[in-house]
Amino acid sequence: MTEWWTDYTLRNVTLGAVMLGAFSGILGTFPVLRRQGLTGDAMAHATLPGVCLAFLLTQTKSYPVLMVGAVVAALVSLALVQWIQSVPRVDPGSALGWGLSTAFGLGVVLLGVVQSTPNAGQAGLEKFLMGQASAITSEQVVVIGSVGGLSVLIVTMVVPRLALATFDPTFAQTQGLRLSYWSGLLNALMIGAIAVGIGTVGVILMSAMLIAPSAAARQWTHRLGPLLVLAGLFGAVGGLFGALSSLWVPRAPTGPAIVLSLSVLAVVSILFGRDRGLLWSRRRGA
Amino acid sequence: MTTDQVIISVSALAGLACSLIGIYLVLRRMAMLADAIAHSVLPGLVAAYLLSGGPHLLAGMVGAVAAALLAVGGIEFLKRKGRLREDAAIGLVFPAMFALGVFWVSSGYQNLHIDADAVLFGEIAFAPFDRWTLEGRDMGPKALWILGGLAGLNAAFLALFHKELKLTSFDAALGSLAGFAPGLIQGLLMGLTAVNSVAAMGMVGAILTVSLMVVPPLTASLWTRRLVPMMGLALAIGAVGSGLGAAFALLWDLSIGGSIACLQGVGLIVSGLVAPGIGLRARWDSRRRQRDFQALLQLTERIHHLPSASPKELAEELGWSPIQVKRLLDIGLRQGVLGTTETGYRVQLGR
Amino acid sequence: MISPALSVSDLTVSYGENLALWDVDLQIEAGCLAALVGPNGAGKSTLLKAALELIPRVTGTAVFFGQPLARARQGIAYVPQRSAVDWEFPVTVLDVALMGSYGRLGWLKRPRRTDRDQAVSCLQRVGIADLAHRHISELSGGQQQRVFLARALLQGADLYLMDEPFTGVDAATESTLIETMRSLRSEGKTVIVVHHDLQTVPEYFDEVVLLNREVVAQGPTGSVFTAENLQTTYGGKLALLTP
Repeated sequence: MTEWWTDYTLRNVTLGAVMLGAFSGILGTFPVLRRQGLTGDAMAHATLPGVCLAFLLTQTKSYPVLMVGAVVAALVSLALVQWIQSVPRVDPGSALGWGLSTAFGLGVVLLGVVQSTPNAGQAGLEKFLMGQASAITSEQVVVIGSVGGLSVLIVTMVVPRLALATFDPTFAQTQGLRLSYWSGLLNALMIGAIAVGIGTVGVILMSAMLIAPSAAARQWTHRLGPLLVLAGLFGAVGGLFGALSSLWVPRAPTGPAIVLSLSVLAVVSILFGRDRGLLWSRRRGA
Repeated sequence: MTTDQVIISVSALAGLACSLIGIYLVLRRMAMLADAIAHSVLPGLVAAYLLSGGPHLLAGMVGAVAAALLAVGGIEFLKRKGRLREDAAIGLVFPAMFALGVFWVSSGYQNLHIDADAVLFGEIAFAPFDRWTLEGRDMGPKALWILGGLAGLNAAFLALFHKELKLTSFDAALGSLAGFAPGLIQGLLMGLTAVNSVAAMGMVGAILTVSLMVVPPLTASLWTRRLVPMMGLALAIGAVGSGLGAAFALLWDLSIGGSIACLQGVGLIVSGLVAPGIGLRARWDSRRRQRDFQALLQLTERIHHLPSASPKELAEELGWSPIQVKRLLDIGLRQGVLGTTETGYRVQLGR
Repeated sequence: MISPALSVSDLTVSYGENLALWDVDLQIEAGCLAALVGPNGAGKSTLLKAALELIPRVTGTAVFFGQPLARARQGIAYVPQRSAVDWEFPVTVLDVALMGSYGRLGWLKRPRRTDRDQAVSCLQRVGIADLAHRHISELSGGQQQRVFLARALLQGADLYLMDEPFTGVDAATESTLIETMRSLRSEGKTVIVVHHDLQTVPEYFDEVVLLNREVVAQGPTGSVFTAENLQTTYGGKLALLTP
């Protein structure tokens, strides 16, 4: 057991994966409730060109620097997707498909450019595609802990208002809430979660970190408080098992491993969940 | 043909084939479902290759279609029984399927003839070297034959079911009343999307597949509302855009799939900016019309209360410039909202 | 002199280039049950929303008890149409009722025990206390409408604005709603209701505003709710529903 904490990689992976899973599970809950889970998918894909550009401009692979690039790219993609959604005849889904594929296309082009530069070998930007648990450094653990912890703290402070603005926007406005502020805050939190997560899970599957835990948690409860707690818990468990298993299975990228363990949790929840689980509703005759 | 020419033709043909099927994906607002299918075919493909002992085209297609139908069924199931919203259901199913495929591909089965890079980025650059030999004769690049066949299959589907597709896309209830099975049409469309996804994944990778299928028809829809011209335009955009994207990539030594997706993406932005009735100009005009309308309302409301006020007095009352008041008075008189009396103006909102 | 509960003047509203309300002036005295009546598209809901600044106005003002909205907000309870709510949101009946206390709670404060007790008694008042821990989607249309009324009651407002509360509810709920409104009136509160059913207007309401983009008539039900005024409000459509 002592080996766990003395082994540098193992400790970082455990800490990083648990925190990341918990934070993205909690931060993903409101976007899922607001039907914006797939917006998160498009933004996650869009961080790839941001990361590449940040590297090309600064020639450093310091995680905070790359994160700045990721955040800027996510914001730009969000603005563009919302603009395209406002174009007549464009439905929201098509706009998301356009956004994620165009951004990822640009990312692939830039990744090629990065790989043809002299110090490409050290850049290791490929880990942003599918994630790499062994790449979690203590620097990254600190970033995940501080950004994620702060975001979760903010969410817990304003849960009643977020709930009001999501459940009944009209009533919320009569209570003096400005809806645009709250959706802006939620977007900011989602982008924060994406930016800290892509190094571990990768841009392609990051959205599952936001969606799967709360979708699984929803099968167990119909109240918001327990839902947030459970989503955090499922995220932590899934993150931990996935990250560790990817260390043990040779050549397995971390993103798929984490997503697979979260998916198992989701399937189990759908089958056995107390609130909506299939077996329960069958027994209740519903 | 030179290798560059082959790559450009293969790209154009892939763009053409995928836009054919994409037209109805866009019209039925199924872009993200198509994206989910594009990701979900991977485990089916891998399983089929494992079972059949090699990269057999037909087995792969069967596996891919099965996986796609499984994914679509799973999404429907989650929406109904797990009571998740469509976006959450999609966002749960496709990462799981794709993760399974990638996990399979990258951990262990190295003799699969697909690797993670091929799944993510496609292998269009190798298309000229993968040739089809028939009885010892070189028939040219395999990809051209496969994509040509696919384009033919898609076109045949659209031609055969033109009426049914049109009707069920417009109104599923009306379609089923008229005796068409919307479920069957939907199933065929999904299956064909899966087949196209496999081809597109081989060319540009799983993630950019949605770009080939969805973006050209979407761009085309901004330029025309009529179905058949939109189809023609979508095909042209798909073929020319992809061919051009590949040409740029070869010229500047960039990723081919990435360049195609970028160019198609930029095409949509440009169309959103300039397409008639939709672009910035049209939006600016309609915003100005609305502003004028509201200002005219404000003005008529004042006139209603001060029927004998002169334009100058009205301008003072509203804090506007006399020129603005004069302009709006003219608009109001022209539209018949205002009429003149001996002393001033009167409101006639009898619409 | 007591200020009217709601006083609207010169209110004009348009959606894009569609005129929704034209130069509306109206006054609802405090302590009455008032109905906004008019055909579909007459701007009844729009009037409430514009008064509450939920949608922009072209011209005009709305004053509540002599105060602008910003200062009167605490005293106003708005019950939107049921369709405006996300029914899959993870909240119980009690949670929804408790939302009525958010306006009083400051930043970072959570509802307390006393708020919960009050919420339960508001649910009792509308007769659904036994459903307090159900998920909101498990309720019938009438029960859902009662939850919203309970939430409004918890706000402890002086003015209640309700958008079509009787649409799609059962008879029992309708009588509970109207009983509650009457008891609010007896406490000196004011209730303004967007109403569809012409038959029940004389029975339920003291005051009526007849609206069709403009105010056709307003005042005590007895003098305003006449066949002639209704004819003007509904135009030719009235022939179908003569009282």
